[in-house]
Amino acid sequence: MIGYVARRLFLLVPILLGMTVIAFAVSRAIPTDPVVAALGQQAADHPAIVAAYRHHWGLDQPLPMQYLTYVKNLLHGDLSDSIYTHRPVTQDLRSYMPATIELATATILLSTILSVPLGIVAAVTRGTTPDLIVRLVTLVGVAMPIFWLALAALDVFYLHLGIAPAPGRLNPTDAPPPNVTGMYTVDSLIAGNMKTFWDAVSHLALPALIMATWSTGTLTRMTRTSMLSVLPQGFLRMVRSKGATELHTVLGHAAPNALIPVVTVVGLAYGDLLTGVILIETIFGWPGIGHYAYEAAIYADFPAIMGVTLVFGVIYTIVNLCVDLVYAALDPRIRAAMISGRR
Amino acid sequence: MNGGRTGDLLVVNDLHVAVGGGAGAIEVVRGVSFRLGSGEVLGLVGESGSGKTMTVSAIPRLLPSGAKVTGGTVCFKGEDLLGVPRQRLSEVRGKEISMVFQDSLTSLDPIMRVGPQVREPLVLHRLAGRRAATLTAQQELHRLGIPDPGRAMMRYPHEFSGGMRQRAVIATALIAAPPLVIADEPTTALDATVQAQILDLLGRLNRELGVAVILISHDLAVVSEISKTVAVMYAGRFVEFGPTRDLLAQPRHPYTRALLQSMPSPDVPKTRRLAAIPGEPPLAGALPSGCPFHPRCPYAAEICRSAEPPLEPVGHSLVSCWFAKDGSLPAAPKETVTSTVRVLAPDVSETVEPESPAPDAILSLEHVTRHFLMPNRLPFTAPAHVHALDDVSLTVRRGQVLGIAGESGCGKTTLGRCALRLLDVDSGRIRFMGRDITRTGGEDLRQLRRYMQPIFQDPYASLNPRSPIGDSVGEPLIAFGVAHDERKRRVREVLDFVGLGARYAAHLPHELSGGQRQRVGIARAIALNPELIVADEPISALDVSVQAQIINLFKDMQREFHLALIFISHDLRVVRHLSTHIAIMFLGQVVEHGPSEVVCSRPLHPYTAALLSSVPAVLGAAPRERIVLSGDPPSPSAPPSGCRFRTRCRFAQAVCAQTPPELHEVEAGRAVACHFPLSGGG
Ligand code: SF4
Ligand code: SF4
Repeated sequence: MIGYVARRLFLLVPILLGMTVIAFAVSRAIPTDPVVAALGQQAADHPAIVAAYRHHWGLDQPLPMQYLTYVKNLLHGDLSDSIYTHRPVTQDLRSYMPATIELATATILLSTILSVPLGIVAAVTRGTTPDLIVRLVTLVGVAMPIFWLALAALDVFYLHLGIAPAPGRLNPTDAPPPNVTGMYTVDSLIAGNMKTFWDAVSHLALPALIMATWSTGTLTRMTRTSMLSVLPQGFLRMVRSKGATELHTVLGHAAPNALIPVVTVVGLAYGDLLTGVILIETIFGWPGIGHYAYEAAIYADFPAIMGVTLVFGVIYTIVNLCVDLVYAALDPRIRAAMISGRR
Repeated sequence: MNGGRTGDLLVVNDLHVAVGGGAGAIEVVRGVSFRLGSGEVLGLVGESGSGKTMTVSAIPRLLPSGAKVTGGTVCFKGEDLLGVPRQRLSEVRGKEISMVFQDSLTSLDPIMRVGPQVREPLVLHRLAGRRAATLTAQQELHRLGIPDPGRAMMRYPHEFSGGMRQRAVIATALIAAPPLVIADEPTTALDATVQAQILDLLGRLNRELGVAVILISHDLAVVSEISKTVAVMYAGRFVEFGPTRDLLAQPRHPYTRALLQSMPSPDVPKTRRLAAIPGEPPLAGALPSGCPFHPRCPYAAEICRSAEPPLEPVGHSLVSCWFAKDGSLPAAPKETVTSTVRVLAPDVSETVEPESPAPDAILSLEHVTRHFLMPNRLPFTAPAHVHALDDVSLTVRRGQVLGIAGESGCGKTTLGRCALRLLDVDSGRIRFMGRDITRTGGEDLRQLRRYMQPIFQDPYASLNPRSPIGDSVGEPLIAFGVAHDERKRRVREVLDFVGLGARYAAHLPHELSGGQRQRVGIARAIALNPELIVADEPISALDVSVQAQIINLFKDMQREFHLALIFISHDLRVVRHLSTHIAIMFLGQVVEHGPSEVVCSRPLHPYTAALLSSVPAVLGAAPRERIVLSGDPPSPSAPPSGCRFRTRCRFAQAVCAQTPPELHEVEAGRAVACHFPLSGGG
């Protein structure tokens, strides 16, 4: 098993290298001139300024050289500086990523807690009223344009009812807790500052809830479908024939089997959320990675784009690995295949 | 309604079960009644769709969703289970009545260790604490012959072989010591030698613990092994119900009689066609009027078409037939509709055995070896080899039928596919009509296919669902450029031959029954007049009453076309009846080979003997000593050293573990791979 994890992590290296090549090629292929983007049209009209600028950022080197330099720095943990923010990209990522992780984690926890019971109830009551209600609600959740929902929620809960706080991660009067993880909820707990904690939670609630409407819809349907495919299986009849109650049959045997494939969907959804939901982050003034990626793209900020790409690559690979490991923890057949090296 | 005599454990009275609701409801059980006393064994026999599984599922109310009881009572110890609340039902299930289902793989929770599943009934019924339940479960597994039960408890179902799983399921059913166990086809998915073990076990449990058993099977022979009484079901009702001995010795219902006669058995001369039951079992939704058996019954008279006969006592049995009263059925049924129309004097006892010199060898395999690699997705791990075929040499001559028998995983299917060059061999040589075809490829290979044809277990998979039967049969003819008119004529001819008639040419595959589709598969194989046909389990998927028809068809085909046939089957009864020569395979090797009658009556290899003795016999005529092999076939990826059979062999000696026995000729045309072959007779 450890060997398996090591192999998977080892595979991360070629994947990331490949991603740098692609990201590098793509970012250089974008027709935007970073010089214009960064210095503005006026400065760009002065050849001397442009030349100095290009030399400073290494843009006057041939492309392969630029790439090699980049990779060399990368190996030292240096993602070079952002053209736009003038700070090291690593530092930028460190400040933007935690916000996204915090939001994504809250969202995925919320929607998993909601959707698993909903999906199970819907499957067990298939075709009757509870099932219909669940299906209708989740359909709405999936179909509703999420930015519209976000705007409507802000309008109702913040502007009219005043029960939700203004956009942002904290009240302007609150100072962020001492930085440990960068996630304010966790950091404030570490600092023992309950007031800041509740403030952070209340700011987190609305965006997480809005994002969860989408993922809850998907997860509920997945849980329901998976349960429906497990419920007719022979081993449940066997469980009943042993004298198990319906409750024990469903919760003790059907659900554990049905939830295994749901893990994949949870993982994928989490990966999606982690790479940022730009619209939500924008509407709720959430300084997350989606936000950062968006600006990097607008300003043709190559180092930032590359940095973001790499981070996304790592996130996807790690999330996938975690999904596989959870799978293995839950399903002995997959575990056996992994240990014997057949996967 | 009626409580039942004292001593009656279970009284089922006029049980009706329907599938679907409202106007579309189809009755699948139409009034079944029986009593079962404590410690008795009832065998329930019927083909698929006869309602046998529905009948027994209704007893602990475990019918599949969509099916429900529409009438009758099920009194267990005087309590009508159909009326009790769910709560009470879960008290009865597992503790009073438990079930063993057919497919042990799907009977166990795949992600739960075996131990907790086996002890679950005790825990659910609060008969023991977890720890005590675990101990009991271990003892139970031990009693059922699972080696190292402590470790077995910690394993997952997929790590068990089929036989082990079925034993675990039986252990679960027995752990709470219920007075009644219902076993629904408990051995159908298992290999012959394992089937023998399980039946043995059920019989022993009944004798030693006094557990009452309802045993369901499609195979009358299996049921008759351990049941005192047998009920034969047809179209949702009992048609004959009585003491096993009477029912087998003197079947009163034409269906029972026909079932018995249609079974291939050593007593039926090879040259005779089996007394096949014409037609197919009816669908529950479209039962014929009157007696549902009348379209297939050789005795059917006017009254049979209009009124359904009641189940009435005849002798010691209950029989549902208008003519079942003693003596009113003619003793020997007249030969009725046979599947083929051509005149083929059915009893000319000319064997296909040696014509003057040895007939031409059509196909020979010489030292053929084929390994498989387990698929392997990651680098840095060693792939596992499976020896599917290991140094196999066999020859089949014109006019011969070479039967290949063995249990699952013995390599018989791989052998068939290599013979047809559908799979490449790793080493060895394949000769076809004198030519080395081991490495033939491309157009040459395509041309060869004209002379060698496959017949598969499920012809449906190989038929294009959207093209009419006629086109499917004519397809190989097109491929080899047979002109249009000639093709039409030939398609008509072969469809006629297989007993379908030319009018079926326009039908689509899904409009045909399983038996009819297999006829199409045969028609397609013979359309090009091939020299060699390889049939892989061609009758295993068919209903019992249809199997005999197809076996007959194979016999006819052999007589008519005089080709070389390789017939692969796990069912030794069929192989023995059909083939002139037999090769017995074990773990990728041929362990015994020779003329089939000689091999079957005087087996030399201990495995052949065990396989033969595991064939359930209908009329326990001569009570034989059954050789029950212990354990399961070893894994083909890690065969034992020396003789691969040694882990299950009673005669194994030290030398068997060191030196693999060579397949050597012991008498003319007879070879065996064993250091200590049995002496004749046994
Ligand atoms: S009632 Fe008639 S059709 Fe039915 S089994 Fe008896 S003889 Fe045959
Ligand atoms: S060689 Fe030995 S182990 Fe193998 S079958 Fe013969 S007696 Fe048994």
